[in-house]
Amino acid sequence: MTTSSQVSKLYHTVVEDVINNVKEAFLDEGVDEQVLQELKQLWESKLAASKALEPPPIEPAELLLAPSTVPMRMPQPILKNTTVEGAAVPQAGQTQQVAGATAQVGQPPQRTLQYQPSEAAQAAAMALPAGIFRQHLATVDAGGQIQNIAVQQTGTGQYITLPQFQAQQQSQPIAIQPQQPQVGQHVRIPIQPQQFLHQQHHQQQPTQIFHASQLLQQQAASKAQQGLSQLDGNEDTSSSEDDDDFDVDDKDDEEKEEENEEEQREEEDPLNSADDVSEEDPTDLFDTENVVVCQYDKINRNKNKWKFHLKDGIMNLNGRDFVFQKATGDSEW
Amino acid sequence: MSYQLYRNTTLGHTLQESLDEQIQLGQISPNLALKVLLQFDKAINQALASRVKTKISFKGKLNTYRFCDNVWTFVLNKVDFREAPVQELVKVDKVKIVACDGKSM
Repeated sequence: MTTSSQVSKLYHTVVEDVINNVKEAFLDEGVDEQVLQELKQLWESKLAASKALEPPPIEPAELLLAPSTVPMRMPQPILKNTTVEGAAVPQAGQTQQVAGATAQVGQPPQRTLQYQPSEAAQAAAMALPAGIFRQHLATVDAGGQIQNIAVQQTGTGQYITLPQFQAQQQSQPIAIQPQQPQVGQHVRIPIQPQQFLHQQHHQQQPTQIFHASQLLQQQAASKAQQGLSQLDGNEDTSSSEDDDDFDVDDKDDEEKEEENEEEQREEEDPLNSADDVSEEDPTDLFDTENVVVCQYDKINRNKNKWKFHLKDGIMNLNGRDFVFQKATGDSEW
Repeated sequence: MSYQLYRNTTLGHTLQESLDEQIQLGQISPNLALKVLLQFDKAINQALASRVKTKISFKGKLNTYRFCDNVWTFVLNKVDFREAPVQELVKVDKVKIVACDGKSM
């Protein structure tokens, strides 16, 4: 018996359980039940897209014979109609939600319409039927996830796009950008569990209007997560270009000396860097795709022989999910 | 209170991604999302404890172990998982096991 059907059954009872038990919380906050149903759809489609619940590929040839099962599991068909108009935003005051998401299948994977208000464009937007205006606001990336989906209308009729707001776009009212490799320019917020918590701190304002500073913080946070830590101010380069020419006037010299001092300080700064190098490995070591999350009953060790008694586990092995009530393991260190 | 460690699974990740999208859309508040996650913790802990009967065993080479804040973390290499008693389940080169104390709950 394969466990995959069992796992998917278990998962769906959990999904049902959660959705049913948060209904009241949604009502309490005045959120439409439609939103809850959408949450369920989103969740289920992402589960299907994860492929963690698919039966094991018995033989590679079999996969080739049945390629049509793959598109069926993509999330797009369900996302297609998740347009939400005037969703209840209880504490938002004048702020009104004007746009939802329309994921369009069969388009180039990345297309964005970025909208910044100028007088004329504003008027034009008002004149457009909501449907047309709404339609192009979604960016669907290759993974089928909606990236840029919210547009806020503030009390003054200004629009703010989330999350791709950028100061430099002020000058170009409407820009359709075929997303090119320079993705780094955009404020992209990868959705990750830690960041989810992180964002909660910054999003206490019920109106959900992002301030530039918040976005910068998030940008910095996401950069830091990619390992691109930046020590010298925002959007600065750390290259030492000022070393090459000496025929500059005194005033500049002074400035540059200061800069050089700073740079020197920076170079000296990582005092314990030698220590870090030796500890490079553990992050690599614990970084693996196969993960078992569980609870332990007993862990025994006799010299280098270990025995594990585990329970209530969820495993993701080679991309597939398994669950167990009990697991026993033997291992030598 | 239920363990939150199951958020770090396929089921938990997909839920958090969905909630994040809805927060971005302004459909739900972060506070409401948190309530959903807490409900998820409850549901998954309960479901694992009461609905799962599978027993498995595994063998492998223990690469690293760590015990911190009552949480064991192991990294094993060349691991062979079997559904008890004998059925072959899956083999992996490397696996990380994260285990919370099963008695404190």
